[in-house]
Amino acid sequence: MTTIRPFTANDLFKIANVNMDPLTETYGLSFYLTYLVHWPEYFKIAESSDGRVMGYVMGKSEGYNEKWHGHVTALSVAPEFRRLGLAGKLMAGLEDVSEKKRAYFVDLFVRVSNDVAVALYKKLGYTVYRRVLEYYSGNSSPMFEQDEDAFDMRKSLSRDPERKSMIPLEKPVRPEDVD
Amino acid sequence: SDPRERRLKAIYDALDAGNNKKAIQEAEKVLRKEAGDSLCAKALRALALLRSGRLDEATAAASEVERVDTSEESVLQAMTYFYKESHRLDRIAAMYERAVQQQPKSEDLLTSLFMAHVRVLDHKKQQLTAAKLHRLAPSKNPYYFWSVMSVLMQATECGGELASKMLLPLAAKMAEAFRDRMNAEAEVQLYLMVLEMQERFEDCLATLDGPLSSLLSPQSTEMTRQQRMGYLEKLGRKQELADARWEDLTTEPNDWARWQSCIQSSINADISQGGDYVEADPRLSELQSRMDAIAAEHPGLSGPRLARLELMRRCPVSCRPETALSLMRSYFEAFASRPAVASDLLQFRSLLSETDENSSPAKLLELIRPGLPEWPKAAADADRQQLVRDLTARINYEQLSRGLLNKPMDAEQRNAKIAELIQAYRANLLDGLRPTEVQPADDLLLLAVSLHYDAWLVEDAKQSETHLLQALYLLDEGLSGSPSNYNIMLWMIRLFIALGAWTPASNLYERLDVKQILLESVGFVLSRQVARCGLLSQGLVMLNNTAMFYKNNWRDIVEHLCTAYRIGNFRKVPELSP
Repeated sequence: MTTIRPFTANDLFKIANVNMDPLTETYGLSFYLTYLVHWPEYFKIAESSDGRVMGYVMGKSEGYNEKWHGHVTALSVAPEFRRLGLAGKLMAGLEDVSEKKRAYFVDLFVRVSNDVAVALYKKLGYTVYRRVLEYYSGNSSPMFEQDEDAFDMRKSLSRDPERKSMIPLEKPVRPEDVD
Repeated sequence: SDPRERRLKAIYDALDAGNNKKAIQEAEKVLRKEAGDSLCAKALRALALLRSGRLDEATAAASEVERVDTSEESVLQAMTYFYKESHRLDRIAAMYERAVQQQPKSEDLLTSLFMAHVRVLDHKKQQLTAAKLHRLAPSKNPYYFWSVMSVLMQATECGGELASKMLLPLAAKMAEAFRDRMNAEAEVQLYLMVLEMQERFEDCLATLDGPLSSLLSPQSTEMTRQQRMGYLEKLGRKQELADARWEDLTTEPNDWARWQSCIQSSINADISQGGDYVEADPRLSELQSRMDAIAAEHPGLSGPRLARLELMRRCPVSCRPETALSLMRSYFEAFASRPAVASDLLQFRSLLSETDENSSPAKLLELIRPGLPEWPKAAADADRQQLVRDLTARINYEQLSRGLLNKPMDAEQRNAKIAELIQAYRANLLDGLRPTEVQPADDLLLLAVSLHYDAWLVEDAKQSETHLLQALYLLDEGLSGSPSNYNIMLWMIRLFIALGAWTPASNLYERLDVKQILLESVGFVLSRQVARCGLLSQGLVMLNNTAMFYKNNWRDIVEHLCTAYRIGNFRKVPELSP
């Protein structure tokens, strides 16, 4: 029993249990507020029955013509609430909004080493479209000192019945080539 | 290209690269060549000086620019950066006021002026500026609605009779006058915001059902459905609301907020029609049956079953401790291998009896105990998923036990329990986890640590450090098995501080990588302890870092207020405003 509702500015104070997980990035305030103001329909939070934050999803829509798509910028579930199918639920919500906006597909970036996440997305119907070299730059935390590649994973929506947007590229690309 | 342009570009490039020293040099070059005529170079120099930390010189340089009234875009932009970075947002407005006087018909300048007023929350001046913009360009809807929004914000700010008798009616009239020309969802939402503040909920519903609804986008149907139910609630249309909520529930039978709404509605609707519930009330059992039916239809969902307990909590006359116990028992037995089951149930502990043994917390635990899986042991060929499920069930039981039983343990019981937990923890460590993954058995360790902590709190000073140290040894062991477990790190920080040991606490805090908003929600674990621990200069470094975040905040947030106006997300304006 979860409540899934729109994320509000004040929720930023409550997401510590989600964001302290090492694979969840904590962005600057402006980053979250940009998404909150531009794409509130994609920004959802999940709460447990006793009022604790379980996870959230943040996304946007962008692109032109057949590249009009939904994008998952952040999807994170607190460690104590994993194995409840929440990630799938939040993704389904994002895909639903994308369908309503008549997007052709949904895509996301994930670290190539994050096999748990990659497996989850594959289970939800996403495939690897391309590899982006050194997408994630190394930073100060000891876990991520090196640059790391990303998988760009995609799932076609009903507006792309032939799944053209999911046809994988043969060669990896660099971050500059990602539009 | 124009040599003047080139020289200015050199300053911009240096600033963009963060090379403030070079920017100052380039700016001074320009000023020497053009005998001080380039206001833009002066402004950029002031900015570079500010960024170099040369505050007095920067202020002096800025005053020189301020002395000249200008509407030159490049100067205004440079000075805007200057004022933002020196936290003088009010000066931006003053500057654009002067610029607008020079070019009263410039939409760009007036828009910048509007945004300048937004930054300092001057809603009255916002309104006046937006009105000017509307007169200049009456066919552009946003300017008009910025006016309306500014009036609404004035009403929010002052409240009382001024809001209800003057400002809100004005905003409403303005919005209604433009009704036929509305062409964006944002404008409809703004109109609804005004009506909501005026508590004209009938008109809100009429708007959602009327021709303006064609402007609402498909992706907003969820939001408007919620809004509609909110209006029904305010109008006291209880039966309609109850029906809407139950229908809503059928699409998401595990959504907790929907369950709470349904229960609320059912109780209210029934009570308003026929008095308070009494025990063995047929309406109550009807409600319970309805809930049980949904639970039966979705056996894998925990929501409907937890909702039965919620009903008891909301409706105490319906609560019999034996029933509560039975429901809690079957809930546990159905879902024990899932996470968070203990915390799900603990919120309902008050439904059990403290006096009657047969429906007491101890009884619940006694009944659950036999059904638990044995303590698992991680072995090379073991089914990992099953192991995690079994571990989770046992952890839920231990957590439930700790949460339900109030009486403190005696030393012998406690030591036995600690030994049991640690043995189980050590027997269930998994191989091959990534450093970013957490051991599933960690919660057992944390329970043992909690028991040591309880002992430390209670026992007298002579013995107390033993427990503290025992806890820290365990946590240290846990951290090597799960280098990413932030709960372990937070515990260690807490206990090191209790020992007065700042340095290890501070090292762990570094490891947590607390930054940005986490400085507010987590930073206090250390920042509140600086004085206590006495290592003041180290503490000061930490506090300075934290202070930077707060210092720059407001400046960043107001930019998003501006964006909200610009793209017409009016609902966010009050949400982001203080």
